[in-house]
Amino acid sequence: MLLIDKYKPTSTKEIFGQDRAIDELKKCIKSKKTAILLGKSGIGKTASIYALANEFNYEIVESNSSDIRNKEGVINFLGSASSQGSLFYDGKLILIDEIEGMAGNADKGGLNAVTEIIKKSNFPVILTCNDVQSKNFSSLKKICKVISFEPLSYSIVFELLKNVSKKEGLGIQDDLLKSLAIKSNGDARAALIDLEFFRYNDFSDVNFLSRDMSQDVSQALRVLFKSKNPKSISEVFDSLHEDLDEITLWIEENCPKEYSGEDLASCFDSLSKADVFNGRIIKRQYYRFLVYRRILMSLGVGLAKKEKKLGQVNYTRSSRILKMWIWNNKNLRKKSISGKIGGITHASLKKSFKEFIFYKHLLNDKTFISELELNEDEIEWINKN
Amino acid sequence: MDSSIWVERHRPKTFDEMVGQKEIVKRIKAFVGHKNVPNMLFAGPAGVGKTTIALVIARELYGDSWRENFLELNASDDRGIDVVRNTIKDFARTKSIGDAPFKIILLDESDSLTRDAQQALRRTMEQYSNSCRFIFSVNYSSKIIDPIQSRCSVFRFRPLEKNDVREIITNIAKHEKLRVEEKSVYALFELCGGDVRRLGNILQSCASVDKHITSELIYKVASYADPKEVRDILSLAIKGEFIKSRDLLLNVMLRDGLSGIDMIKQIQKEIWNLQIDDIKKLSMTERCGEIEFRMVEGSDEFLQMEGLIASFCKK
Repeated sequence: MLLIDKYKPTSTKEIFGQDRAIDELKKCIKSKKTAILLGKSGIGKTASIYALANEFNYEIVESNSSDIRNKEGVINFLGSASSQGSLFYDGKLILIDEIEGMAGNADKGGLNAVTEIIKKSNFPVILTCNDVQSKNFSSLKKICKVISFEPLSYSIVFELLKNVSKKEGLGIQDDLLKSLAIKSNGDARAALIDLEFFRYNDFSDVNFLSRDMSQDVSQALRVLFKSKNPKSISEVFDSLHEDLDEITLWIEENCPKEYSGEDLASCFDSLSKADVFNGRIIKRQYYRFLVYRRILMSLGVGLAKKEKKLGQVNYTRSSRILKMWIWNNKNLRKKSISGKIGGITHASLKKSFKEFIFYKHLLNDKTFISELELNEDEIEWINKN
Repeated sequence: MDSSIWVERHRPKTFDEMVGQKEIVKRIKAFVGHKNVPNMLFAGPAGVGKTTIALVIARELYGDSWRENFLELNASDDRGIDVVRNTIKDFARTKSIGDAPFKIILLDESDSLTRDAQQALRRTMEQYSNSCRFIFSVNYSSKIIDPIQSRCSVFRFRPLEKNDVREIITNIAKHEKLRVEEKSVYALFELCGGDVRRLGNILQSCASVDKHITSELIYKVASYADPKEVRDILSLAIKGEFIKSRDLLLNVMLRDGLSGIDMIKQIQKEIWNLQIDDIKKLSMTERCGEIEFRMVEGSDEFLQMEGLIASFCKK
């Protein structure tokens, strides 16, 4: 059994980070209202519906994008289900999953049929939709209660992975779980599928991810930082698959471990000049500058040392992107409040964020909070800070 | 309802309330009087009235229904080509409401519109020239591509002068019942230059402490916005502790949402407070200039900042 099935939530308590959305959904089902759940994939939309049906002892009649969903298909399949009661359960739920999958030509008339069914159904109809932006469903949004599912924060996905890893006795290091959580970009399903890979392989005492990508790279870095031979230095990136942006991050992270003082300054001077050429490439689309960028990054960095370097250094992957991610998460509420301040002061989110300190004293003021129309999460953040 | 934020509460609502920019106000007032405005590019430093005059134009042209005929987009937040293709087009293609001959789209902070988005705009501007006028507001007009500049009348806003700033302070002080000393007016002018947004925010923060605005209070409040760690970043670098210095730098930049340019400004100021040889301070400052230049040309601000502190590390 796959982890994704084994740990499928059976009650809403097992779904993290969507408490508010689940509450709203619960109300809809109880009052037999139609709801459309919006949100990226893998964050618990369908899981919430199944968990709630389980709690209520309801039957689910599901139509998803694997079914033919043109006009006849929808009516044949859902039409009768929406009027007949359930034999073995206390109630019934009509679930129309992945509604964005039916905008195409093959499903002609499907959306209209869905609208008809919503109007006639004796049971709550729940729709899910990945594509939040899509305008095709604006007519549906008018007759449904819209419930947004927020993307999961990296820490929630991390907790989930940690939990599963512990129960399965996988013994995977936190660092690796963190990388998986970050890679998932808020998609818990994708993260669990990635975790599957580590289930039958023993990686308990190696940091698999960094070994995988750094084998070639650390060889290259070793030549770059240790060798004084211009020929081998200038060829150092030839065998790598990473692009120069990625390599820049590697050098940036690891050069201070090898160089110091003048050498370090001269190494960063070359990186900085290489970056200027990169900027020129982007602005002018003049790709011949790549030559100079490459030479500055190889020979510029390699020849920055006055003497040959000895000794063993453990190269690590750049933590810059991870830090950006973490701070972005930490600043989520501050950012959303700044956006609202920007809205009433005709300024950008960025500008209000920078001037946030000047608005902070106002945030204890009830009238100001209602002027900004802050939501509960934002008010909670203010009270904590 | 009056806004709780002073900058908003005291924002001019008519041409006559505008302080400074006399020439520009006069010319635009004439356009509005004839119910005809061209596409316009407002260039000038922050907080000198670019957005304000755009809002005044909308109010004067459309009266109470100005919100329906006026779309304000902040290009720093929505700067991609999608915005141009969707939001702007949707707004531009429908007819104006009431007897207004056209709608107005204000693209604030257009410096950060991508080139692609700007390219996409030039067609849109022509297609909807009957129903819609554009106002671009930028700090540097050079960030706007030539084809768009050539479709706009360009207005160059000047920093407000000391007398203008004094008038604004007096005005706010009267309404908010503040006591502002003459020395404080100088302090505010020195700290904010002609940036009225900054000025209003600092005044309001001061007033939340004390209605009697002294220059000491102003300097204290204004320093809140500067990251305290700049000195530590510099002294770590000078001690040769590169990794510690850079980690602190990255954390501060991410925490406060500061750009490389913001940071280099702070560092360049702080250099002169260090206990080191003046000649060394001079060479460090020159280095700041060189790196700031590379930052403008380059692609990775943080890498450039690392280059700067690494150059401070060498002895």
